[in-house]
Amino acid sequence: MDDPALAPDETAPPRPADEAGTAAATSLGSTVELAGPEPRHSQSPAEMARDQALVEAALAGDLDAFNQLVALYQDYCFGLVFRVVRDREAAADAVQEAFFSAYRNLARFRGQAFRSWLSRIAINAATDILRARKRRPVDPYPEWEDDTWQPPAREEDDPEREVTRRARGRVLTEALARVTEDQRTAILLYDVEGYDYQEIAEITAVSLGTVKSRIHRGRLALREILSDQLELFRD
Amino acid sequence: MTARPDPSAHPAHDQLLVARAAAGDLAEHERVDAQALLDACAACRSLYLDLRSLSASLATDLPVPRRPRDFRLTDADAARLRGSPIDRLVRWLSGPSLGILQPLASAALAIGLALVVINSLPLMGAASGPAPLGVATEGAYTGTGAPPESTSQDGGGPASPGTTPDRLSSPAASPAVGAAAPSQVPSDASGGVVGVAGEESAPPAVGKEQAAPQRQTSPAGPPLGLMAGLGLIVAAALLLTLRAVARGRARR
Repeated sequence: MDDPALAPDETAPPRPADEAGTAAATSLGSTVELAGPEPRHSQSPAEMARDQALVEAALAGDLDAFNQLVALYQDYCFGLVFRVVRDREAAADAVQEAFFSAYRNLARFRGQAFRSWLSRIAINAATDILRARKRRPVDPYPEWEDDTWQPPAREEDDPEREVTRRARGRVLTEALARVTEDQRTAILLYDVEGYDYQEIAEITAVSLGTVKSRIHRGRLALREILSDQLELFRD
Repeated sequence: MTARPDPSAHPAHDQLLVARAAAGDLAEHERVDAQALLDACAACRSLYLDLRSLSASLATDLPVPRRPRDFRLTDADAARLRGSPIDRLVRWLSGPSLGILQPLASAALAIGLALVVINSLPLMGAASGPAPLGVATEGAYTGTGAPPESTSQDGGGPASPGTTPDRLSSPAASPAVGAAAPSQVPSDASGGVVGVAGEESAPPAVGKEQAAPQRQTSPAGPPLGLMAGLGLIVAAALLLTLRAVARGRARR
């Protein structure tokens, strides 16, 4: 590579994340062992069988059976859609529309994981909302002090760790709002909801390569956005 | 053999490779490159560890948005969503249970087209019949220079050579050429033209003798195969259109 324009700019000042990270990595030692594939937490066969039974009952005209499915997945659905669209009322409308759509099209459900099928409908509803409000930006997130949020399901016994967790959650949520919509959706589905690449490809209707690219680039973007606060995540 | 990365050149290092390594998303040969990079570059190592930490934190530390209301459906919602019988028909038409419809309709369309083409060939042949008939008849006279003997049974002599071509050139004037009124011309069992008593003896219509059997074999209406082909085409096109419309409506 003789072209100086193509040569790496070694004179560029290191970014804060690199600078602090180098020190952290040095302190951790000069080697790290490469990890294997990250574990995914898909639906269990028992959950899928339960959902299938409820779907069949709902198809036979049992509205209560469908409402049991709603009760099982409404928190999950709202969490997913809200993190994508970042607007409480719009997210609620999208989730309601997603359940309406699921009820209308229940006969099209073909025995795959109901949660994935519902996620696809919910993501589509969220995407419709995002598309409709392209010209109207929204505030990143509601105030942290109001009742929009509740802590993660697992409570910490150690108050200090709980404070750290809340701080991490806050900065992560704000950072997620600053990556692209596609990257945000992919990261939420992969890191937060635990879907595997193939499931995300089906939910978001893009190729496997695109899903991987969105996740990896999105994580790099998150790290860049959080470059001043990475100490919070380093044990 | 992988060259050892230069630790001072971190900005040029493949950060996407490190990100993929952090997600455990590398092929075996890529793991060697990634491990070499992480061993040589502290900044890449830091990037790797940060990405792992962020991923773990995303899974456990994000606050959960509080749901503002209950999304269960009421009876009224359900009744509205079930819709009219037409709505249900549209949903059924657009549903995956009729996924087989498209290949079937396409096959029916192809078979229908083939039937139409095959059964149109005799019709096209019959439609173009009079033209060869005229040519053949005219050739029979002009080629010999003199009209052949009449085959009429009344013993009429040969027609005047001077008048015969004129009569032949006008289909309306000559029953031998006029294909429009075959029933007016008596014919024997072999399809040969029989002269009409009292009429001026007509020259033997060679072309007519050849054309008459064609007209006799052509049915009065379109053949059954043609009708079936057209029916298949219409039915397949109708089904495909209905399904396309239903799917479009369902998507909306």
